[in-house]
Amino acid sequence: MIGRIGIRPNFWLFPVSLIVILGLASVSPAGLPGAHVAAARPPVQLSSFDIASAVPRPVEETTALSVQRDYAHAWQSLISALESNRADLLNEDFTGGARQQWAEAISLQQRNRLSRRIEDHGHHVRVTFYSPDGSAMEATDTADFDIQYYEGTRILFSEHVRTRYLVLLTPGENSWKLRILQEVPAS
Amino acid sequence: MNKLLPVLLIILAAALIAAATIHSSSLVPATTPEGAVRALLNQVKARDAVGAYQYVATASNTAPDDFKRDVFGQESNLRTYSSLQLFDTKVLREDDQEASVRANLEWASAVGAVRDTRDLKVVREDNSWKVIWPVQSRPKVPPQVIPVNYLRWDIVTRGLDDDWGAQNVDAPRVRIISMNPVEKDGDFILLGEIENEDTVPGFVSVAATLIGKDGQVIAQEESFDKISHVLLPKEISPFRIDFPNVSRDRIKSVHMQPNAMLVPASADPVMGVMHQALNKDARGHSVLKGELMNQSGQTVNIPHVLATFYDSAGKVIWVSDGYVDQSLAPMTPVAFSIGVRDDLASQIHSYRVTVNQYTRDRVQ
Amino acid sequence: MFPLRRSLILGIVCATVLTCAAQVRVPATVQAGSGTTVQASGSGSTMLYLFGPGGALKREVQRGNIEISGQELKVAGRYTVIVDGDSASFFVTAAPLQKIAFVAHPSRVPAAASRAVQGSAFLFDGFQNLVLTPIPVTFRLAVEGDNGEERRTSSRDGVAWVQLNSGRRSGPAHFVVTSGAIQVRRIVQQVAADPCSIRMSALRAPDGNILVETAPVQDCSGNAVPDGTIVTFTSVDAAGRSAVDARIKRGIARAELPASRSATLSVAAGVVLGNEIHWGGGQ
Repeated sequence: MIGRIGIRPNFWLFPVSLIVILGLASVSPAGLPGAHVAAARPPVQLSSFDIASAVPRPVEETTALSVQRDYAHAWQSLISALESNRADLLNEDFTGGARQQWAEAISLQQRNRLSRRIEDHGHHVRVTFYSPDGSAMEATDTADFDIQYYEGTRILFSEHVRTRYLVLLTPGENSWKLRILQEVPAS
Repeated sequence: MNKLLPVLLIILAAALIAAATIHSSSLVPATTPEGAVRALLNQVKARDAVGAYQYVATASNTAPDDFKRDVFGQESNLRTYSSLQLFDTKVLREDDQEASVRANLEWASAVGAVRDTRDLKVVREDNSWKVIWPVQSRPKVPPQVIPVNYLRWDIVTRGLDDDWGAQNVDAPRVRIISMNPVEKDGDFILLGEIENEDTVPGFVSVAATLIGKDGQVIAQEESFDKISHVLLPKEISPFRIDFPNVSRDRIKSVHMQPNAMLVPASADPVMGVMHQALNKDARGHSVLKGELMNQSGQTVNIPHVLATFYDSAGKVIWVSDGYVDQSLAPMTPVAFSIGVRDDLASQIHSYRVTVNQYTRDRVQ
Repeated sequence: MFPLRRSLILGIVCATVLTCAAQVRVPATVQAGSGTTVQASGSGSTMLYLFGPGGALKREVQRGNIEISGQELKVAGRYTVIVDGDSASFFVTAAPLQKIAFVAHPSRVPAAASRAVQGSAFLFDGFQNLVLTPIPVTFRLAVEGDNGEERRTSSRDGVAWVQLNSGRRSGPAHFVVTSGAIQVRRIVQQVAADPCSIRMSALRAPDGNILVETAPVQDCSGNAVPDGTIVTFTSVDAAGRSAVDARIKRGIARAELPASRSATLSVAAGVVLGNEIHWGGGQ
């Protein structure tokens, strides 16, 4: 029989589709590395930002404000990037060695279906060096985190850490960028 | 009837084509001196050199080509990139045989509106009025070789790759050496001078931000073309930044931002600014007149003259500029004239003229 | 709460089944690029996870001594090893100094300027990690043939810096930072400062114009002001003011001003004024 060519809506398909979609949503992380990340993270807070001991050049007030903003944003990007395994999120705030190293870490996480979820509990930043020509700033950052290590959606391990970073920031075109983010043993 | 219609249409078309073709050679003779000037200028406006030339009196002793070059430009000078936009005329004096008509002209050009006033002599010739349009003959530069061995600065910078800490060359060091805020006709204007203190050339600009009494930014502007952008070592340029319709009493502070970039540049052409003097123009307004002398071997297509006026204390009280619509042939003086504020003429104690230049087929 | 409960359950289970539990032991620190051994108690195969700043590793291993290669530990920072739900952390520290990122400023400096030359040296190992142990660093700034200036210092948190006076002689100065066997060189162009004084002379050209010419233009240390520097000659007479922005060429600036019977001639470079000549009349 030669039937008419046309589109006849199959109304029974809509509830079925809805069920499938809702079902997928309810088991969302299954098999999707990094999918546990969907929730929006609160912005990273710098609990303190001390510029009093910066040498040899004092940090100008406007510079300090920019650095605080950009550094907090960089952490926000790193946390999101490690959680969702998206190295592209680093491009705006990271440069040089730091971008390369963390991008590599993310690439390996992705390859091994691993991820890290970091809950940030604040940073105490102290600027120790601001170059005379204003082209580099070094700081130490003592930060508190809750870190959960994932394989797929399975938590491998959770820990709370209080850690110390050595940070090197350099000015980019519109913002300060993280060039070195090196975790060091607490002295 | 079937054959008649096409024939009529062909005749009509031929008549229209003929009318269109011969219109420029059969212009209506001018019956008044002002009519002659207006007719000539209308043809210039329509960019019809042949038509305009029909209103030029024989007594002008001006060849058609010279007239065309004078009105429509040559050697890529500013007139080449201009067209007559507006004009008005006024009879100053008239008798049976001769009259004087003032024409205020406004040219639309690549650098904005250029205004010009000409007092034209109009004479009766062959039962109609025609305009005396003298064209200053330019001395021809004799064929010669002019050796130019001035410095040229080329720049090698580091690559775009992220080679942090690698050697690079700094932007030139520039400094605003004077600044004077003034108010005129409801506009707020910043005047001053900037010096390239470095030993390399720089492309400079000056930006200004006005901060209001509430701490908010009122306006931001740049010096645009009221500055010499390329400054050689130790060269000083005036700058003027206009903020239209901003009253001074709204402003709490002004933030000035001199910017400089390292650019390749050449130390030539050297231009002399000769016989500068403050005068009055035909309408009685104050003008600064003088002559530009291109002391190098290459024609400068568009000269731009910037004048800084100082009071007796050496403070910059005004900056004005003007484009010269003639090109500057080597070693050939060309007159310039820049308007000066009449209300300031009595306060002007000294002045300094600098010349920007645009030369075709030349990168720097 | 959740990890605690998980560890508890794991502990109870592993108390009965010996092979599934693993106690992980690691060294406190490892030098970047060097391998290390992770000790996981028990026997049999299991999965090892390693999270660090430069990577994330998952590998099936035999319990006991587990080798981690130097390639996997290049980036300095804290690494977390997880085996069978147990974990341990260690730090990778920078390897010996391999590279100095030397930021020197400015690239041009007027001669004899106080504390005008600045240098910051960032000390890195071969893996882009900052070397944090204090290391002696020497900075030296000198024009060839000059003694120049030298400063010794020690790095702190991977950075050493210096501020030096520029030399009195113009020319390319070598600004060198040295630490151990590593040396990095930058060129700082020491240039003449502002002209110290400008002396001008004038004579009549064959065509009647006035030829003006400066003596060699120098700064106060005797350095020749660079070619290309603008020198403005001005003549003021009854016909008005004439000015030429001449360029210094081979140390001297010259220009031709229009003929005049009586004029005042002056010369300036930037904001530095030279002498004045009264031309004509008594001359």
